Amino acid sequence: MTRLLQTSGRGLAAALVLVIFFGTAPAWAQTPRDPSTQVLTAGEIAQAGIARFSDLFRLLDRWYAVSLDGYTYDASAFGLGALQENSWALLVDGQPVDLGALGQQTLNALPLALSAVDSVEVVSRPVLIHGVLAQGGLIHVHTHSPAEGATVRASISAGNEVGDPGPFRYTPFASPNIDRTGPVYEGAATVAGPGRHLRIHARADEHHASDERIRERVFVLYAGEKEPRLFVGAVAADGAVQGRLGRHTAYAGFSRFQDLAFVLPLGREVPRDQRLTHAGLRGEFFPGAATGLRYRVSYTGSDLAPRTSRTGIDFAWRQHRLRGSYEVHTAGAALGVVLGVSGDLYRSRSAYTLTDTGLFVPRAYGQVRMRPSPRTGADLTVHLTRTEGVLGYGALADVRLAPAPQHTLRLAGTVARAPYEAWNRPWLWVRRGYGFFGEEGARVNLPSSFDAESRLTLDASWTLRPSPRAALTVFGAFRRFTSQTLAAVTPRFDPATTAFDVRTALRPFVAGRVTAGGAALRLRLLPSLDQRLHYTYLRYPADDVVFFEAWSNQPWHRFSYTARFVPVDRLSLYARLGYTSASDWPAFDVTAQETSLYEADLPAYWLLDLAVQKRFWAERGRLHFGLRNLLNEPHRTHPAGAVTDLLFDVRVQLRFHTGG
Amino acid sequence: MEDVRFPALAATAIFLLGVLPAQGQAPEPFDFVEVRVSGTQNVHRSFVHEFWEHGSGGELAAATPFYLGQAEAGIALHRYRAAAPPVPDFDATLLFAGWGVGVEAGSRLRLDGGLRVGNYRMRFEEAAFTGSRNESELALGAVARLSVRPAGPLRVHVSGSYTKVHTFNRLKLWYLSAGLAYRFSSPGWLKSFLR
Repeated sequence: MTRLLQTSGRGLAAALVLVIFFGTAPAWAQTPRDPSTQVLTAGEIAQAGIARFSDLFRLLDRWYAVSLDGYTYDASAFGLGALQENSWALLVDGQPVDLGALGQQTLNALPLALSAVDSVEVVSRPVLIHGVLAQGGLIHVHTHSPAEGATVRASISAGNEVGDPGPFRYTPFASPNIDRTGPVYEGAATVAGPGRHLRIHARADEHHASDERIRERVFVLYAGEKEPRLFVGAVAADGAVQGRLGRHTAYAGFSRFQDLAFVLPLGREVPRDQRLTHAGLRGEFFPGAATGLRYRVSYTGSDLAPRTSRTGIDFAWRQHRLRGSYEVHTAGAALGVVLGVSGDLYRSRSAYTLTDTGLFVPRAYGQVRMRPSPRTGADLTVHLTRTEGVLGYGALADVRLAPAPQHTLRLAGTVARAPYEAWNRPWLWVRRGYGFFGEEGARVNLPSSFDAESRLTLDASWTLRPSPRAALTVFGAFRRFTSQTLAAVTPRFDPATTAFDVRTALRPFVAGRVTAGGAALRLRLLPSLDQRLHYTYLRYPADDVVFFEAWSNQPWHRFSYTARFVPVDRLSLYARLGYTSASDWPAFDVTAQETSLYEADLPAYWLLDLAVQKRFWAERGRLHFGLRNLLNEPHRTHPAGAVTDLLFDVRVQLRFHTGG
Repeated sequence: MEDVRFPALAATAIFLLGVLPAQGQAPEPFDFVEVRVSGTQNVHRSFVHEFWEHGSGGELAAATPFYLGQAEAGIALHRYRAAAPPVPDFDATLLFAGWGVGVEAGSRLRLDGGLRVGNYRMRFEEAAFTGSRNESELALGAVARLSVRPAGPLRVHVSGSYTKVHTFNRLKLWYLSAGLAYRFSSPGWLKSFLR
């Protein structure tokens, strides 16, 4: 019997190995993908129960994001920038979108419905795309190619975090109320014919800022009748025509975000009404020809209006941004060339007198794409800019080599220097006279001048594909920053309000290094089971105190395991287990000694998400139920932020299509 | 009683795993619907009972064959009466979905076990309270059911269930239930909708 069991065990192990490496599962597409790029398909986004754009950060293996309210995130892409910089770029269908308002980017303010998204491409190294040099990483949202005929999509999502007081709120054992997340409503309608389409979509979202760690602080300025809430409403439309002159797309969108943004120099949440208008035109002449012309023009208006508050606090800020790019590209079998010019024109408006309201950032760029053989390839890119009389440049090289069919090596490097003004950071406008922070009592020290920032990045990876169903990637990265301008903040706790009295000092000439690495394994044991393991390691030597303090809030180790199981065509199960190691927030050391409400050292945590999704009514309906943080580990990503426990969410999506 | 909750959930899980191999001859998904009506009785005391009396309630559920085992959805109504005023009375509604498996013993007897997840909505009878009178919370639970088919599509069942409502101080609730179930073939439109 023992021998039988041993034999069976060995047989089972051998069978498992065979299934892993030589099973009958369909092979993945063999197109080599840059390991620095993670692609989230609409299917994966739906299976994971993502109902908001900001929730995408949960799925990004190499990006790290923190939030105080669970809604607005500061993010860093694999060592490409400190969290305080938010230096990542956003594109929608190749078009740059500026969500930033005085340095804060709120992905949820994007005037787009998540149900219109076909995939999201996330790049974790510097890249030049459509004239945008994304030095801090890139999020590129691709919308669905409309199917011919008429299509209507609608969805509703809602969630609830556990830990409400329940009936015990009437007893001595009362605890703070914990509100739901959402609901999120979305709708989209599309009419499409051969080569043309018209699409409109809308989204409404609601979020509660009532966690007990932030609630009292929020109420310092919040003056609404009910519990503090954030509201987002967005509408957008786009249309395209294709003819002899090429394909051209026009789009326009508007979002209104009634926000309670934590403004660090003020040390508290500030009610504000952010209105974003985005419109543009893009197109390509002679698509498919050996030589083509691409153009993109867009306008973005960002307006920070006051929201009802106790003091009538008003950012009094409006910024208009015109952006354009024009490029010529040639494409051959072995060689492709892109040459282009682009420019950004900013115009700021404020009740405060600005010494100069304008900013112009012109650029010229060129790229050579070489494919001498199917196994080798190289992209060389040069990018030049001159802003406020300061020259900026960027040179990127990306080399791919496949010495054997199972092996792919990739090496990418960047040398870049960017004038501080080119980032459109808020401190530039403070120097020019934007007096909001000073008038509200913030203590901010600016340097005598802003220096151009330089950086060097290297990314290397080796991918092994022992079978079409398995891929192992080992990767490493190095970043060196010189002449950075970073904010050193010193928050002091105010027990009367639980807010902070913050001193902010902009420190120029900050330098530092970041080394990173990791490994990724993807397996398809069965046709219906897709598994992914990912580990990243990030280190930043303490050579420079300011640099180290700006980076030490990013954890050294992160691990994730993601499984998608589709046992039958219409049912899918999703699981994600993630580990994040501890992070330090030295700026909050003193605060943590003064109150137990905030912590300076955030402990490591494990998160387990499970979700089930059932399609119904033929292809029309999709019902999602998910449990997030099933281990119910109370965790926070920011020392002064909300704590998140177990929560569940439900999402119903409907899609109707006729014609085509 | 609270100490037995883990063994109870573990026993349910072991039962589900043990019964899974016997699901080979299961009917096609959504082939029929079984509607169950039950009366429920709370059968233990926990922390919540220091402030409220919680006795009988009712439950209405519909179950149908799933790809593996059975899926169910239903609603349960629970009433809580103040035992130590000034706390208010409140009614609770559990909207739940569940999944489970069962084994037939002979032609008339059946044993089922399953897990449930739902939303526990509480409505407080408190006129003076200025905040929301409603509150919702996640509920997770397990159920075991023994049913007998005396004749035709009708079944009689008794069941025991455990529900944990994830309020800050958890509501841990054990119930015994008894009721009737009626099974009918799913109409075509319902089958195509669910599939």
